[in-house]
Amino acid sequence: MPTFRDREEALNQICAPTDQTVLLNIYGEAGIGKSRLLHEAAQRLREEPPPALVLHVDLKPLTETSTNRPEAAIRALIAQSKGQLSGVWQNVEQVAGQVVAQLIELALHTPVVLMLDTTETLQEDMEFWRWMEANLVGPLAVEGQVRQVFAGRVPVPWRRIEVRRALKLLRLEPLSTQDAARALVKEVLQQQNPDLEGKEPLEQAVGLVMEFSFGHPLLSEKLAQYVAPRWSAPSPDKFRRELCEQVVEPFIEQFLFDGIDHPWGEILWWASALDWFDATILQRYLDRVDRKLVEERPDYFFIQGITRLRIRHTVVWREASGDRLHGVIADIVRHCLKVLDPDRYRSACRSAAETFEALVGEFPEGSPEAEQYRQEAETYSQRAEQETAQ
Amino acid sequence: MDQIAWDMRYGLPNQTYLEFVARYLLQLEARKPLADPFALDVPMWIEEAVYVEREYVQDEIRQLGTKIIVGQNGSGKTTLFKRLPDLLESRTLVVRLPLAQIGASVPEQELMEGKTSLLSPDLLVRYTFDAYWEGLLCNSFNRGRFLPQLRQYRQWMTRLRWFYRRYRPLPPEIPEEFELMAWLNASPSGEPPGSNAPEDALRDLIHFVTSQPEGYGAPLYQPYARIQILIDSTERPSTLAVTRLIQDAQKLYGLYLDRVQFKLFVDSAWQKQIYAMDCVRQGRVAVYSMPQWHTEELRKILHRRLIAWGRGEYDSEYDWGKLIPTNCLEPAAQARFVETIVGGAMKAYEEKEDWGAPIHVLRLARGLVFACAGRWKERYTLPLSFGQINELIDLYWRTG
Repeated sequence: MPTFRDREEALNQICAPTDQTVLLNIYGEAGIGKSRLLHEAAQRLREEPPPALVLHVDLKPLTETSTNRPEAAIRALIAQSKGQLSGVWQNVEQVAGQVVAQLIELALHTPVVLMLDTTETLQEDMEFWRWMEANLVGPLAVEGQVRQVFAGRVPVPWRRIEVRRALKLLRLEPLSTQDAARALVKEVLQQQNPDLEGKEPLEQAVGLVMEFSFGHPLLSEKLAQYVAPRWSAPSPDKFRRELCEQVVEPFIEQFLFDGIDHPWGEILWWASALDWFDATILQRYLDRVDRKLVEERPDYFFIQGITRLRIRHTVVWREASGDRLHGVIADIVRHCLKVLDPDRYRSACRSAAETFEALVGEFPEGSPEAEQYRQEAETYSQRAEQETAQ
Repeated sequence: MDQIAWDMRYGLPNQTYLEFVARYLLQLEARKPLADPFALDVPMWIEEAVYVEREYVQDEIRQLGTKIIVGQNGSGKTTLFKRLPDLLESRTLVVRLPLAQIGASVPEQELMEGKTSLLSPDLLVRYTFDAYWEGLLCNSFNRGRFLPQLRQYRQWMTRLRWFYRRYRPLPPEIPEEFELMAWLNASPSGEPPGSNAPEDALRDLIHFVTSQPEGYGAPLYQPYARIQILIDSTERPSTLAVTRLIQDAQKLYGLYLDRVQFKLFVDSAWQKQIYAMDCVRQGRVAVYSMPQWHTEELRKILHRRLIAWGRGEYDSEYDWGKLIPTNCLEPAAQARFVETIVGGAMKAYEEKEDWGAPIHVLRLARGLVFACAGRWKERYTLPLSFGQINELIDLYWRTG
């Protein structure tokens, strides 16, 4: 694995929080480095004095259990404890109570940290999270002796007041494109191709990788691994297209859009041209770019689909203005679209401008909504013109 | 009253409305049971999910001391009464005394007329021990957490048996704890008897519940540090009964100070009489009037209902009006749908209604969604415009 970098602040939040945080929920898009962060934090906590008891559980295996996930979670915690936790199994709530009591007792003598990873795999299982809040997370948060860290693509849907009071959310951003991301790419390039040492070629190669990865750690690594053995100052445009076809597009389809039903995969490619959307805007925009995608599909299809992308696939994120592709995924997909099919991207921008222009007419003149949509239309028109000029 | 206004206030949802809501607002899978997220009453299993916390209200009510909480119908008083145990500090034993249920064990008429005290030691000791039994021992989690340590202390075990045998709780058996039940049901030998007087038994029980057993270990393991007695008197007892309740609560609070506190929930119809009482005027009993709801809070009420009944998702400030399709609601109306409903509900405070704004926000939400589903399409053709939405709200208030 490449050197772990640029996560000191997040690492300190887990290992030595200055603000007495007892419940930390880390979130960020797929491949941004959440699991790696937990792995590094667990290692640091176990090695640095005083060595902590770290219970690191991946929740993904629980998706294979359709019943009694709480029991599976408690058993996983007990298994991780290597004999320091035990339970007399009458029912799972009773064992949870015993585990909580034992954790609190252990925390009197040694730091104890609970880490639960890939929470997005159980995002829709509200019963599971309600149970966890009532029987593990809540009581530990109230006692405040045991630190809890949750990591997933989106935050866990916490409800109980004592949990929300103790909670701190931490969004994991892409690596800084100025230094950390570049350092990661350089490291991988040099590992894969030690001949790639001359400053100028190395910097060019780094620049090319950064153009497509936007600081996404996993994509940066994959691009660097591809570029390194093939770098010989090739024709930039041809190589850029090749990178998109051979690395970025497969990465998007196999990793970011994994498991998404037809035609939503194709819809998301079009949606990447939009800064934000809702069901109405998306439907009208798609009607302009590719009518086949909306034919015989009612409003209901788009309303449900966006929700599914947000909750189940965690590839769409909701902000104040509306929905958008999660984090840096929008940038990655949009840029790939621009390189692979510039005409399509231009057409998308023009259609977006037309969509928002049409919406302006449906609101009273001078209203805040009309003004906002007018500005959006202007933005997309300018983008289409810039692409034409290039 | 105009029929549409009547339907909005008092009508029941029909199949069209339920299907519309399920499809667009709740986004339920096909063949799931249909439900009305804007119904006034909610099933117990969803109460927590729909609850909108008002931290400033909760902070006031959680404070120590005896307090009377006054609020109008629909102000959230009874919901708070039900939720309060979850809001209080975890080492508080909550004893709930809802008047209507207590009425089954004493002559209801005497209770309502104030001839019998609800806060008599005999009643209190029974309900307090019931709450302790249920909270600590019937609850699997707490039993798992505390019993392994507590059962090591003979003093605690013998006192538990004394109270168990004298004030047999409901349910009396914990099937999973064979050893504990065998101990509790065995005949005591050589143990000092407790006092038979209810006042002494109450004092002993308070001490038993809120103190650590002698020689007990880390203070972290103590289940309870104090007792909070909640009384919901929304069943409208007589003035004498309310007065007697408050005076008894104040007397008991004075006896046990930091170990026992009382919270009495009362309809705002009693506000004048309560403020006229000596103990209130002297400041020995605090009174808290439930404040009006803010627009943001009303918005959350509607939003939480949809999340609770539909696909749970991460909470965010989302305008769910946009979930209604544009062939039912114009985009201009979509953008302001929720704001308009909430604004309409706030008129409850201008109109000095008997009911609080939360009730009206749910009624209006249901009525307007019903209109979007085409309920009154002869008069309000689809898609509904922003003007038509406002017209319906005016109708609701004009003929209320």
